[in-house]
Amino acid sequence: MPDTANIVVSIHDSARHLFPNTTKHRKRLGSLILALVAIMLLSGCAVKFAIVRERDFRSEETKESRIKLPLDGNSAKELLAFLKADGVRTNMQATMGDPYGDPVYGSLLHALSDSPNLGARTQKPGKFCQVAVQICVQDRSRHFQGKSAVLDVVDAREAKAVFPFPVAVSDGKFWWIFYHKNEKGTDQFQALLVTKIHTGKVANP
Amino acid sequence: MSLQDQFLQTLFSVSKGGVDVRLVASLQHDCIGFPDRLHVFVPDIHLLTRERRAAFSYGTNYEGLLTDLVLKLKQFKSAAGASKVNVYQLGDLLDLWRQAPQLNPEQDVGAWIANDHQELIGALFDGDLGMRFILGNHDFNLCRFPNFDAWTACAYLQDSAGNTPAIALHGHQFDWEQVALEILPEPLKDALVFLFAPIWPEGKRKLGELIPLNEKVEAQMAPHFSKYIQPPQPAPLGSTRPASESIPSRFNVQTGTGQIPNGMRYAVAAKELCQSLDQQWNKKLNLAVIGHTHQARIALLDDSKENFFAIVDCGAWIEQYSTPEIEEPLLNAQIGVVGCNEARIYQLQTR
Repeated sequence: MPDTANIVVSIHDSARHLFPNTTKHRKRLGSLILALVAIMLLSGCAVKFAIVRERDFRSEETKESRIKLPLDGNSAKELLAFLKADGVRTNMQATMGDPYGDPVYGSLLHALSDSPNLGARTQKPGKFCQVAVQICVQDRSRHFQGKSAVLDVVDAREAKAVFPFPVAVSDGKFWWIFYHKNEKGTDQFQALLVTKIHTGKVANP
Repeated sequence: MSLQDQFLQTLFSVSKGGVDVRLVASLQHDCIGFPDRLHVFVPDIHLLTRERRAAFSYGTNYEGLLTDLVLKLKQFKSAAGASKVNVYQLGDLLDLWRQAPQLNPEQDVGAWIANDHQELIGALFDGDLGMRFILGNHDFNLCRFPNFDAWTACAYLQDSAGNTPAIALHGHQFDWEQVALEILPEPLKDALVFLFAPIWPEGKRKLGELIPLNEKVEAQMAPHFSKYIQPPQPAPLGSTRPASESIPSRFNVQTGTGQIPNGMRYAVAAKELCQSLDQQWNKKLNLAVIGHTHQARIALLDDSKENFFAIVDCGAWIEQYSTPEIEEPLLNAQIGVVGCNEARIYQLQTR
Protein backbone atom coordinates (compact mmCIF):
# COMPACT_ATOMS: atom_id res chain seq x y z
CA MET A 1 0.00 0.00 0.00
CA PRO A 2 2.53 2.65 -1.09
CA ASP A 3 0.14 5.62 -1.30
CA THR A 4 -1.32 5.37 2.18
CA ALA A 5 0.94 8.03 3.69
CA ASN A 6 0.09 10.48 0.90
CA ILE A 7 -3.59 9.80 1.32
CA VAL A 8 -3.36 10.53 5.06
CA VAL A 9 -1.42 13.76 4.43
CA SER A 10 -3.85 14.97 1.81
CA ILE A 11 -6.84 14.18 4.01
CA HIS A 12 -5.19 16.09 6.85
CA ASP A 13 -4.65 19.04 4.48
CA SER A 14 -8.32 18.94 3.58
CA ALA A 15 -9.16 18.97 7.27
CA ARG A 16 -7.13 22.16 7.70
CA HIS A 17 -9.20 23.87 5.02
CA LEU A 18 -12.42 22.65 6.56
CA PHE A 19 -11.49 23.79 10.07
CA PRO A 20 -8.97 26.62 9.58
CA ASN A 21 -9.20 28.14 13.06
CA THR A 22 -10.21 25.36 15.41
CA THR A 23 -7.40 23.12 16.57
CA LYS A 24 -9.80 21.11 18.70
CA HIS A 25 -12.01 20.21 15.78
CA ARG A 26 -9.02 19.47 13.59
CA LYS A 27 -7.68 17.08 16.22
CA ARG A 28 -11.00 15.33 16.50
CA LEU A 29 -11.36 15.04 12.77
CA GLY A 30 -7.79 13.80 12.57
CA SER A 31 -8.59 11.01 15.05
CA LEU A 32 -11.62 10.04 13.03
CA ILE A 33 -9.65 10.02 9.79
CA LEU A 34 -6.93 7.87 11.32
CA ALA A 35 -9.58 5.45 12.57
CA LEU A 36 -11.08 5.28 9.07
CA VAL A 37 -7.66 4.73 7.50
CA ALA A 38 -7.03 1.98 10.06
CA ILE A 39 -10.29 0.33 8.99
CA MET A 40 -9.21 0.58 5.33
CA LEU A 41 -5.80 -0.90 6.08
CA LEU A 42 -7.16 -3.67 8.24
CA SER A 43 -9.83 -4.63 5.75
CA GLY A 44 -7.08 -4.95 3.14
CA CYS A 45 -5.14 -7.51 5.20
CA ALA A 46 -6.47 -10.97 4.68
CA VAL A 47 -6.61 -13.64 7.33
CA LYS A 48 -4.76 -16.73 6.14
CA PHE A 49 -6.33 -20.17 6.51
CA ALA A 50 -6.14 -23.57 4.87
CA ILE A 51 -9.13 -25.31 3.37
CA VAL A 52 -9.46 -29.07 3.16
CA ARG A 53 -10.83 -29.94 -0.29
CA GLU A 54 -13.35 -32.59 -1.34
CA ARG A 55 -12.37 -36.26 -1.36
CA ASP A 56 -10.99 -36.19 -4.91
CA PHE A 57 -8.50 -33.45 -4.03
CA ARG A 58 -7.06 -34.61 -0.71
CA SER A 59 -4.68 -37.35 0.33
CA GLU A 60 -7.24 -39.21 2.45
CA GLU A 61 -10.66 -40.60 1.62
CA THR A 62 -11.82 -40.36 5.22
CA LYS A 63 -10.37 -39.02 8.45
CA GLU A 64 -9.79 -42.59 9.54
CA SER A 65 -7.49 -43.22 6.58
CA ARG A 66 -5.30 -40.18 7.35
CA ILE A 67 -1.58 -40.68 6.68
CA LYS A 68 0.25 -41.53 9.89
CA LEU A 69 3.68 -40.14 10.61
CA PRO A 70 6.41 -41.20 10.36
CA LEU A 71 5.74 -42.42 6.83
CA ASP A 72 6.48 -46.01 5.94
CA GLY A 73 7.34 -47.31 2.49
CA ASN A 74 3.71 -47.81 1.47
CA SER A 75 2.38 -44.47 2.73
CA ALA A 76 5.33 -42.67 1.12
CA LYS A 77 4.49 -44.34 -2.20
CA GLU A 78 0.82 -43.44 -1.94
CA LEU A 79 1.55 -39.84 -1.00
CA LEU A 80 3.96 -39.49 -3.89
CA ALA A 81 1.33 -40.87 -6.28
CA PHE A 82 -1.12 -38.22 -5.04
CA LEU A 83 1.45 -35.44 -5.44
CA LYS A 84 2.44 -36.64 -8.93
CA ALA A 85 -1.22 -36.61 -9.94
CA ASP A 86 -1.32 -32.89 -9.05
CA GLY A 87 -3.59 -33.64 -6.14
CA VAL A 88 -6.37 -35.29 -8.13
CA ARG A 89 -7.11 -38.74 -6.73
CA THR A 90 -8.85 -39.96 -9.86
CA ASN A 91 -5.62 -39.36 -11.82
CA MET A 92 -3.41 -41.26 -9.39
CA GLN A 93 -1.21 -44.00 -10.77
CA ALA A 94 0.80 -46.54 -8.86
CA THR A 95 4.32 -45.29 -8.13
CA MET A 96 6.99 -47.65 -9.34
CA GLY A 97 10.38 -47.83 -7.74
CA ASP A 98 11.74 -46.03 -4.68
CA PRO A 99 9.64 -43.03 -3.63
CA TYR A 100 12.61 -41.61 -1.73
CA GLY A 101 14.53 -41.33 -5.01
CA ASP A 102 12.06 -38.87 -6.51
CA PRO A 103 13.97 -35.72 -7.51
CA VAL A 104 11.26 -33.30 -6.32
CA TYR A 105 9.73 -34.95 -3.24
CA GLY A 106 12.20 -37.71 -2.33
CA SER A 107 14.13 -35.88 0.38
CA LEU A 108 10.94 -34.45 1.90
CA LEU A 109 9.35 -37.90 2.04
CA HIS A 110 12.54 -39.18 3.59
CA ALA A 111 12.42 -36.45 6.24
CA LEU A 112 8.82 -37.37 7.05
CA SER A 113 9.78 -41.01 7.47
CA ASP A 114 12.16 -40.43 10.34
CA SER A 115 10.66 -39.90 13.79
CA PRO A 116 13.32 -37.54 15.20
CA ASN A 117 12.53 -35.07 12.37
CA LEU A 118 8.90 -34.79 13.43
CA GLY A 119 9.40 -32.82 16.63
CA ALA A 120 7.67 -29.46 16.34
CA ARG A 121 7.51 -26.21 18.19
CA THR A 122 3.85 -25.24 17.87
CA GLN A 123 3.68 -22.53 20.53
CA LYS A 124 5.51 -19.63 18.97
CA PRO A 125 4.13 -17.82 15.93
CA GLY A 126 6.46 -17.87 12.99
CA LYS A 127 7.53 -19.47 9.75
CA PHE A 128 7.02 -23.16 9.20
CA CYS A 129 10.76 -23.77 9.16
CA GLN A 130 10.97 -22.38 12.70
CA VAL A 131 8.23 -24.80 13.76
CA ALA A 132 9.58 -27.90 12.05
CA VAL A 133 13.28 -27.25 11.78
CA GLN A 134 14.44 -30.76 10.93
CA ILE A 135 11.93 -31.28 8.12
CA CYS A 136 13.15 -28.10 6.44
CA VAL A 137 16.79 -28.97 6.98
CA GLN A 138 16.35 -32.40 5.38
CA ASP A 139 14.14 -31.26 2.48
CA ARG A 140 16.65 -30.46 -0.23
CA SER A 141 13.96 -29.05 -2.55
CA ARG A 142 13.05 -26.43 0.08
CA HIS A 143 9.30 -26.72 -0.41
CA PHE A 144 8.51 -24.75 2.73
CA GLN A 145 11.34 -22.23 2.82
CA GLY A 146 10.06 -18.81 3.95
CA LYS A 147 6.45 -20.02 4.18
CA SER A 148 4.24 -19.10 7.13
CA ALA A 149 2.90 -21.70 9.50
CA VAL A 150 -0.88 -21.37 9.52
CA LEU A 151 -2.95 -22.61 12.46
CA ASP A 152 -6.42 -22.09 11.00
CA VAL A 153 -7.66 -25.08 9.04
CA VAL A 154 -11.21 -25.21 7.76
CA ASP A 155 -12.44 -28.78 7.40
CA ALA A 156 -16.20 -28.98 6.93
CA ARG A 157 -16.21 -32.66 7.94
CA GLU A 158 -15.48 -31.61 11.53
CA ALA A 159 -18.10 -30.40 14.00
CA LYS A 160 -15.66 -27.74 15.20
CA ALA A 161 -12.05 -26.74 14.76
CA VAL A 162 -9.69 -29.60 15.60
CA PHE A 163 -7.63 -29.01 18.73
CA PRO A 164 -4.65 -28.90 19.17
CA PHE A 165 -4.76 -26.64 16.16
CA PRO A 166 -2.89 -28.40 13.34
CA VAL A 167 -0.02 -26.66 11.57
CA ALA A 168 -0.59 -26.02 7.86
CA VAL A 169 1.94 -24.85 5.31
CA SER A 170 1.58 -24.20 1.62
CA ASP A 171 4.15 -25.04 -1.04
CA GLY A 172 2.13 -23.08 -3.59
CA LYS A 173 0.42 -26.19 -4.97
CA PHE A 174 -0.73 -28.03 -1.86
CA TRP A 175 -1.62 -27.37 1.76
CA TRP A 176 0.39 -29.73 3.94
CA ILE A 177 -1.52 -30.07 7.22
CA PHE A 178 0.33 -31.58 10.15
CA TYR A 179 -1.69 -32.91 13.12
CA HIS A 180 0.28 -33.00 16.34
CA LYS A 181 0.08 -33.84 19.99
CA ASN A 182 2.06 -32.83 23.03
CA GLU A 183 3.65 -35.84 24.67
CA LYS A 184 5.91 -35.47 27.67
CA GLY A 185 6.28 -31.75 27.03
CA THR A 186 7.27 -32.09 23.38
CA ASP A 187 5.06 -31.60 20.36
CA GLN A 188 5.31 -34.28 17.72
CA PHE A 189 3.74 -34.39 14.26
CA GLN A 190 1.64 -37.54 14.22
CA ALA A 191 -0.46 -37.41 11.04
CA LEU A 192 -0.54 -35.61 7.72
CA LEU A 193 -3.18 -34.46 5.26
CA VAL A 194 -2.21 -32.98 1.91
CA THR A 195 -4.84 -31.18 -0.13
CA LYS A 196 -4.76 -29.43 -3.48
CA ILE A 197 -4.96 -25.64 -3.50
CA HIS A 198 -7.45 -24.18 -5.93
CA THR A 199 -5.77 -21.14 -7.39
CA GLY A 200 -8.87 -19.24 -8.47
CA LYS A 201 -9.83 -16.11 -6.56
CA VAL A 202 -12.63 -16.23 -4.03
CA ALA A 203 -15.28 -13.64 -4.76
CA ASN A 204 -15.55 -11.02 -2.02
CA PRO A 205 -18.68 -11.84 -0.05
CA MET B 1 -30.61 -31.15 46.67
CA SER B 2 -30.87 -28.10 44.36
CA LEU B 3 -28.67 -27.75 41.31
CA GLN B 4 -26.86 -24.94 43.14
CA ASP B 5 -25.99 -27.27 45.99
CA GLN B 6 -25.01 -30.08 43.63
CA PHE B 7 -22.69 -27.66 41.91
CA LEU B 8 -21.13 -26.67 45.22
CA GLN B 9 -20.49 -30.35 45.99
CA THR B 10 -18.72 -30.57 42.63
CA LEU B 11 -16.45 -27.68 43.62
CA PHE B 12 -15.51 -29.47 46.84
CA SER B 13 -14.41 -32.48 44.79
CA VAL B 14 -12.02 -30.53 42.53
CA SER B 15 -8.36 -31.54 42.86
CA LYS B 16 -9.45 -34.63 44.81
CA GLY B 17 -10.83 -32.41 47.54
CA GLY B 18 -7.59 -30.53 48.00
CA VAL B 19 -9.24 -27.20 47.48
CA ASP B 20 -10.72 -24.55 49.75
CA VAL B 21 -13.96 -23.07 48.48
CA ARG B 22 -15.09 -19.73 49.87
CA LEU B 23 -18.27 -17.83 49.22
CA VAL B 24 -17.58 -14.34 47.88
CA ALA B 25 -21.19 -13.23 47.49
CA SER B 26 -24.67 -14.68 47.15
CA LEU B 27 -28.11 -13.30 46.33
CA GLN B 28 -31.46 -15.09 46.26
CA HIS B 29 -34.34 -13.43 44.47
CA ASP B 30 -37.27 -14.67 42.39
CA CYS B 31 -36.34 -12.21 39.63
CA ILE B 32 -33.01 -13.94 39.03
CA GLY B 33 -34.97 -16.79 37.51
CA PHE B 34 -33.87 -20.10 35.99
CA PRO B 35 -35.70 -22.23 38.60
CA ASP B 36 -34.60 -25.51 37.02
CA ARG B 37 -31.42 -24.53 35.24
CA LEU B 38 -27.87 -23.49 36.06
CA HIS B 39 -25.51 -21.16 34.19
CA VAL B 40 -21.85 -21.41 35.17
CA PHE B 41 -19.35 -18.66 34.31
CA VAL B 42 -15.58 -18.89 34.10
CA PRO B 43 -14.20 -15.32 34.02
CA ASP B 44 -10.97 -13.78 32.66
CA ILE B 45 -8.03 -16.20 32.34
CA HIS B 46 -5.55 -14.15 30.23
CA LEU B 47 -3.39 -16.98 28.91
CA LEU B 48 -0.08 -16.26 27.17
CA THR B 49 2.42 -18.64 25.65
CA ARG B 50 4.76 -19.90 28.34
CA GLU B 51 7.66 -18.11 26.74
CA ARG B 52 5.81 -14.78 26.71
CA ARG B 53 4.52 -15.33 30.24
CA ALA B 54 8.10 -15.19 31.51
CA ALA B 55 8.25 -11.50 30.55
CA PHE B 56 5.62 -10.59 33.17
CA SER B 57 5.63 -10.65 36.95
CA TYR B 58 2.05 -11.98 36.95
CA GLY B 59 0.01 -14.47 34.94
CA THR B 60 -2.84 -16.94 35.01
CA ASN B 61 -3.41 -18.30 38.52
CA TYR B 62 -3.72 -22.02 39.35
CA GLU B 63 -3.83 -23.33 35.76
CA GLY B 64 -3.81 -26.95 36.96
CA LEU B 65 -6.66 -26.29 39.38
CA LEU B 66 -8.64 -24.60 36.63
CA THR B 67 -8.12 -27.58 34.33
CA ASP B 68 -9.38 -29.92 37.07
CA LEU B 69 -12.36 -27.65 37.64
CA VAL B 70 -13.31 -27.67 33.96
CA LEU B 71 -13.04 -31.47 33.80
CA LYS B 72 -15.31 -31.70 36.86
CA LEU B 73 -17.76 -29.30 35.25
CA LYS B 74 -18.11 -31.69 32.35
CA GLN B 75 -18.91 -34.55 34.72
CA PHE B 76 -21.37 -32.35 36.61
CA LYS B 77 -23.14 -31.36 33.41
CA SER B 78 -23.36 -34.94 32.24
CA ALA B 79 -24.82 -36.08 35.61
CA ALA B 80 -27.28 -33.18 35.91
CA GLY B 81 -28.47 -33.43 32.30
CA ALA B 82 -26.95 -31.48 29.45
CA SER B 83 -29.98 -29.22 29.02
CA LYS B 84 -29.93 -28.22 32.71
CA VAL B 85 -26.42 -26.78 32.79
CA ASN B 86 -24.84 -24.19 30.51
CA VAL B 87 -21.22 -23.20 30.79
CA TYR B 88 -19.69 -19.92 29.62
CA GLN B 89 -16.27 -18.39 29.43
CA LEU B 90 -16.75 -14.66 29.89
CA GLY B 91 -13.93 -13.38 27.64
CA ASP B 92 -10.20 -12.66 27.87
CA LEU B 93 -9.42 -16.35 27.81
CA LEU B 94 -6.42 -15.57 25.60
CA ASP B 95 -4.46 -12.36 26.06
CA LEU B 96 -3.56 -11.17 22.57
CA TRP B 97 -2.75 -7.67 23.83
CA ARG B 98 0.08 -8.82 26.06
CA GLN B 99 1.20 -11.62 23.73
CA ALA B 100 2.12 -9.40 20.77
CA PRO B 101 2.39 -5.63 20.45
CA GLN B 102 0.63 -5.58 17.08
CA LEU B 103 -1.89 -7.77 15.39
CA ASN B 104 -0.70 -9.67 12.33
CA PRO B 105 -3.83 -10.77 10.45
CA GLU B 106 -1.85 -13.55 8.80
CA GLN B 107 -0.88 -15.01 12.15
CA ASP B 108 -3.54 -16.40 14.47
CA VAL B 109 -1.71 -15.62 17.70
CA GLY B 110 -4.60 -16.96 19.78
CA ALA B 111 -4.18 -20.40 18.23
CA TRP B 112 -0.50 -20.44 19.14
CA ILE B 113 -1.30 -19.51 22.75
CA ALA B 114 -3.96 -22.22 22.86
CA ASN B 115 -1.52 -24.82 21.52
CA ASP B 116 0.78 -24.03 24.44
CA HIS B 117 -1.92 -24.94 26.99
CA GLN B 118 -3.25 -28.14 25.49
CA GLU B 119 -4.65 -29.66 28.68
CA LEU B 120 -6.62 -26.62 29.79
CA ILE B 121 -7.79 -25.56 26.33
CA GLY B 122 -8.54 -29.16 25.39
CA ALA B 123 -10.81 -29.37 28.46
CA LEU B 124 -12.50 -26.04 27.69
CA PHE B 125 -13.06 -26.95 24.01
CA ASP B 126 -14.46 -30.41 24.83
CA GLY B 127 -17.65 -30.92 22.84
CA ASP B 128 -19.43 -32.60 25.77
CA LEU B 129 -18.84 -29.55 27.97
CA GLY B 130 -20.40 -27.35 25.28
CA MET B 131 -18.80 -24.21 26.63
CA ARG B 132 -19.98 -20.97 25.07
CA PHE B 133 -17.17 -18.46 24.48
CA ILE B 134 -17.64 -14.71 24.73
CA LEU B 135 -15.12 -12.26 23.32
CA GLY B 136 -13.29 -9.94 25.72
CA ASN B 137 -11.23 -6.87 24.92
CA HIS B 138 -7.93 -8.73 25.18
CA ASP B 139 -9.04 -11.44 22.74
CA PHE B 140 -11.45 -9.43 20.63
CA ASN B 141 -9.38 -9.88 17.46
CA LEU B 142 -10.06 -13.61 17.54
CA CYS B 143 -13.29 -12.79 15.74
CA ARG B 144 -11.20 -12.52 12.55
CA PHE B 145 -10.03 -16.12 12.56
CA PRO B 146 -11.86 -19.30 11.51
CA ASN B 147 -10.78 -21.23 14.62
CA PHE B 148 -12.79 -18.84 16.79
CA ASP B 149 -15.71 -18.16 14.47
CA ALA B 150 -18.27 -19.34 17.02
CA TRP B 151 -17.24 -16.81 19.69
CA THR B 152 -19.66 -13.95 20.18
CA ALA B 153 -19.89 -10.55 21.86
CA CYS B 154 -22.61 -11.56 24.30
CA ALA B 155 -25.03 -14.35 25.16
CA TYR B 156 -28.65 -14.13 26.19
CA LEU B 157 -29.52 -16.63 28.89
CA GLN B 158 -32.83 -18.38 28.31
CA ASP B 159 -34.87 -20.27 30.85
CA SER B 160 -36.88 -23.40 30.11
CA ALA B 161 -40.02 -21.32 29.47
CA GLY B 162 -38.26 -19.33 26.75
CA ASN B 163 -37.87 -16.14 28.81
CA THR B 164 -34.57 -14.25 28.76
CA PRO B 165 -33.95 -12.74 32.19
CA ALA B 166 -30.18 -12.34 31.87
CA ILE B 167 -27.35 -11.37 29.53
CA ALA B 168 -23.70 -12.40 29.73
CA LEU B 169 -21.01 -10.18 28.27
CA HIS B 170 -17.39 -9.45 29.01
CA GLY B 171 -18.04 -5.92 30.29
CA HIS B 172 -15.39 -3.95 28.36
CA GLN B 173 -18.19 -2.46 26.29
CA PHE B 174 -18.68 0.02 29.11
CA ASP B 175 -15.06 1.19 28.62
CA TRP B 176 -15.63 1.43 24.87
CA GLU B 177 -18.49 3.82 25.33
CA GLN B 178 -16.28 6.13 27.41
CA VAL B 179 -13.51 6.15 24.82
CA ALA B 180 -15.94 6.67 21.97
CA LEU B 181 -17.29 9.74 23.68
CA GLU B 182 -13.78 11.13 24.18
CA ILE B 183 -12.47 10.76 20.66
CA LEU B 184 -15.37 11.39 18.35
CA PRO B 185 -16.86 14.59 16.99
CA GLU B 186 -20.23 15.45 18.46
CA PRO B 187 -22.48 14.68 15.45
CA LEU B 188 -21.18 11.14 15.15
CA LYS B 189 -21.41 10.17 18.82
CA ASP B 190 -24.94 8.87 18.83
CA ALA B 191 -24.55 6.80 15.71
CA LEU B 192 -21.26 5.25 16.82
CA VAL B 193 -22.27 4.59 20.39
CA PHE B 194 -25.12 2.65 18.85
CA LEU B 195 -22.52 0.52 17.08
CA PHE B 196 -20.34 0.11 20.15
CA ALA B 197 -23.08 -1.25 22.34
CA PRO B 198 -23.31 -5.04 22.30
CA ILE B 199 -26.78 -5.11 20.86
CA TRP B 200 -26.41 -7.80 18.27
CA PRO B 201 -29.10 -10.37 18.87
CA GLU B 202 -26.70 -13.27 18.39
CA GLY B 203 -23.65 -13.86 16.27
CA LYS B 204 -21.11 -11.22 15.53
CA ARG B 205 -22.38 -8.87 12.91
CA LYS B 206 -20.39 -5.65 12.99
CA LEU B 207 -17.67 -7.06 15.24
CA GLY B 208 -15.04 -6.18 12.63
CA GLU B 209 -16.07 -2.55 12.71
CA LEU B 210 -15.17 -2.39 16.40
CA ILE B 211 -11.58 -3.53 16.02
CA PRO B 212 -10.10 0.00 15.61
CA LEU B 213 -11.95 1.17 18.71
CA ASN B 214 -10.69 -1.78 20.72
CA GLU B 215 -7.16 -0.96 19.59
CA LYS B 216 -7.61 2.63 20.75
CA VAL B 217 -8.49 1.36 24.23
CA GLU B 218 -5.52 -1.00 24.13
CA ALA B 219 -3.15 1.88 23.29
CA GLN B 220 -4.39 3.75 26.36
CA MET B 221 -3.91 0.78 28.67
CA ALA B 222 -0.80 -0.91 27.26
CA PRO B 223 1.87 1.16 29.09
CA HIS B 224 1.11 -0.44 32.44
CA PHE B 225 0.61 -4.04 31.28
CA SER B 226 4.10 -4.98 32.40
CA LYS B 227 2.88 -4.61 35.98
CA TYR B 228 -0.88 -5.07 35.95
CA ILE B 229 -4.01 -5.08 33.79
CA GLN B 230 -6.64 -3.69 36.09
CA PRO B 231 -5.68 -1.16 38.83
CA PRO B 232 -2.46 -2.10 40.65
CA GLN B 233 -4.06 -2.73 44.03
CA PRO B 234 -5.56 -6.18 44.74
CA ALA B 235 -9.30 -6.18 44.06
CA PRO B 236 -11.23 -5.53 47.30
CA LEU B 237 -13.90 -8.22 47.69
CA GLY B 238 -15.27 -7.53 51.15
CA SER B 239 -15.51 -10.44 53.57
CA THR B 240 -15.66 -14.01 52.32
CA ARG B 241 -16.79 -17.11 54.22
CA PRO B 242 -16.25 -20.86 53.92
CA ALA B 243 -18.70 -22.28 51.41
CA SER B 244 -18.98 -25.40 53.56
CA GLU B 245 -21.11 -23.38 55.98
CA SER B 246 -24.73 -22.65 55.07
CA ILE B 247 -25.17 -20.27 52.15
CA PRO B 248 -27.05 -17.10 53.21
CA SER B 249 -29.81 -15.80 50.97
CA ARG B 250 -27.94 -12.52 50.78
CA PHE B 251 -24.23 -12.19 51.48
CA ASN B 252 -21.76 -9.44 50.61
CA VAL B 253 -24.17 -7.83 48.13
CA GLN B 254 -23.25 -4.30 47.08
CA THR B 255 -26.07 -1.77 47.33
CA GLY B 256 -26.49 2.00 47.37
CA THR B 257 -23.08 3.50 46.64
CA GLY B 258 -21.38 0.21 47.45
CA GLN B 259 -19.76 -1.17 50.61
CA ILE B 260 -16.40 -1.84 48.96
CA PRO B 261 -14.43 0.45 46.62
CA ASN B 262 -15.86 0.28 43.08
CA GLY B 263 -18.57 -2.03 44.40
CA MET B 264 -21.21 -0.57 42.08
CA ARG B 265 -18.95 -0.08 39.06
CA TYR B 266 -20.82 -0.49 35.76
CA ALA B 267 -24.14 -1.29 37.49
CA VAL B 268 -25.93 1.79 36.17
CA ALA B 269 -24.37 1.46 32.70
CA ALA B 270 -25.38 -2.19 32.58
CA LYS B 271 -28.95 -1.37 33.56
CA GLU B 272 -29.17 1.31 30.86
CA LEU B 273 -27.82 -1.12 28.31
CA CYS B 274 -30.32 -3.79 29.35
CA GLN B 275 -33.19 -1.32 29.18
CA SER B 276 -32.26 -0.40 25.62
CA LEU B 277 -32.02 -4.08 24.75
CA ASP B 278 -35.41 -4.71 26.39
CA GLN B 279 -36.95 -2.11 24.12
CA GLN B 280 -35.17 -3.23 21.01
CA TRP B 281 -35.61 -6.99 21.34
CA ASN B 282 -38.70 -7.15 23.52
CA LYS B 283 -36.95 -8.77 26.48
CA LYS B 284 -36.98 -8.30 30.25
CA LEU B 285 -33.38 -8.47 31.36
CA ASN B 286 -32.96 -8.47 35.14
CA LEU B 287 -29.36 -9.48 35.38
CA ALA B 288 -26.06 -8.80 33.61
CA VAL B 289 -23.21 -11.25 34.16
CA ILE B 290 -19.77 -9.82 33.41
CA GLY B 291 -16.02 -10.24 33.96
CA HIS B 292 -13.40 -7.71 32.85
CA THR B 293 -12.85 -5.78 36.11
CA HIS B 294 -11.18 -8.69 37.96
CA GLN B 295 -13.20 -7.69 41.01
CA ALA B 296 -15.69 -10.40 41.97
CA ARG B 297 -18.90 -8.91 43.38
CA ILE B 298 -22.66 -8.84 43.14
CA ALA B 299 -24.11 -5.34 42.83
CA LEU B 300 -27.82 -4.88 43.37
CA LEU B 301 -29.28 -1.73 41.89
CA ASP B 302 -32.96 -2.34 42.57
CA ASP B 303 -34.57 -5.27 44.41
CA SER B 304 -38.22 -4.42 43.78
CA LYS B 305 -40.09 -7.04 41.79
CA GLU B 306 -40.98 -4.57 39.03
CA ASN B 307 -37.53 -3.03 38.53
CA PHE B 308 -35.13 -5.65 39.84
CA PHE B 309 -31.66 -5.29 38.41
CA ALA B 310 -28.28 -6.67 39.49
CA ILE B 311 -24.89 -7.36 37.99
CA VAL B 312 -22.82 -10.42 38.80
CA ASP B 313 -19.14 -9.70 38.20
CA CYS B 314 -17.50 -13.10 38.25
CA GLY B 315 -13.92 -11.97 38.97
CA ALA B 316 -10.88 -13.50 37.29
CA TRP B 317 -8.10 -16.12 37.30
CA ILE B 318 -5.38 -13.51 37.16
CA GLU B 319 -4.09 -10.88 39.60
CA GLN B 320 -5.04 -10.72 43.28
CA TYR B 321 -7.78 -9.89 45.74
CA SER B 322 -7.91 -8.65 49.30
CA THR B 323 -10.43 -9.01 52.10
CA PRO B 324 -10.54 -7.39 55.55
CA GLU B 325 -9.59 -10.74 57.16
CA ILE B 326 -6.33 -11.37 55.33
CA GLU B 327 -3.07 -9.47 55.59
CA GLU B 328 -1.48 -10.61 52.33
CA PRO B 329 -3.46 -10.49 49.08
CA LEU B 330 -4.43 -13.85 47.56
CA LEU B 331 -4.71 -15.04 43.97
CA ASN B 332 -7.99 -14.54 42.15
CA ALA B 333 -9.59 -17.87 41.18
CA GLN B 334 -13.31 -17.25 40.99
CA ILE B 335 -16.34 -18.77 39.38
CA GLY B 336 -19.88 -17.44 39.09
CA VAL B 337 -23.08 -19.43 38.99
CA VAL B 338 -26.63 -18.30 38.30
CA GLY B 339 -29.71 -20.46 38.60
CA CYS B 340 -32.46 -21.71 40.92
CA ASN B 341 -33.38 -18.03 41.56
CA GLU B 342 -29.96 -17.39 43.00
CA ALA B 343 -26.58 -15.96 42.04
CA ARG B 344 -23.36 -17.01 43.77
CA ILE B 345 -19.66 -16.33 43.36
CA TYR B 346 -17.04 -18.67 44.79
CA GLN B 347 -13.31 -18.33 45.34
CA LEU B 348 -11.17 -21.45 44.95
CA GLN B 349 -7.76 -22.00 46.41
CA THR B 350 -5.47 -25.01 46.62
CA ARG B 351 -4.57 -26.10 50.12
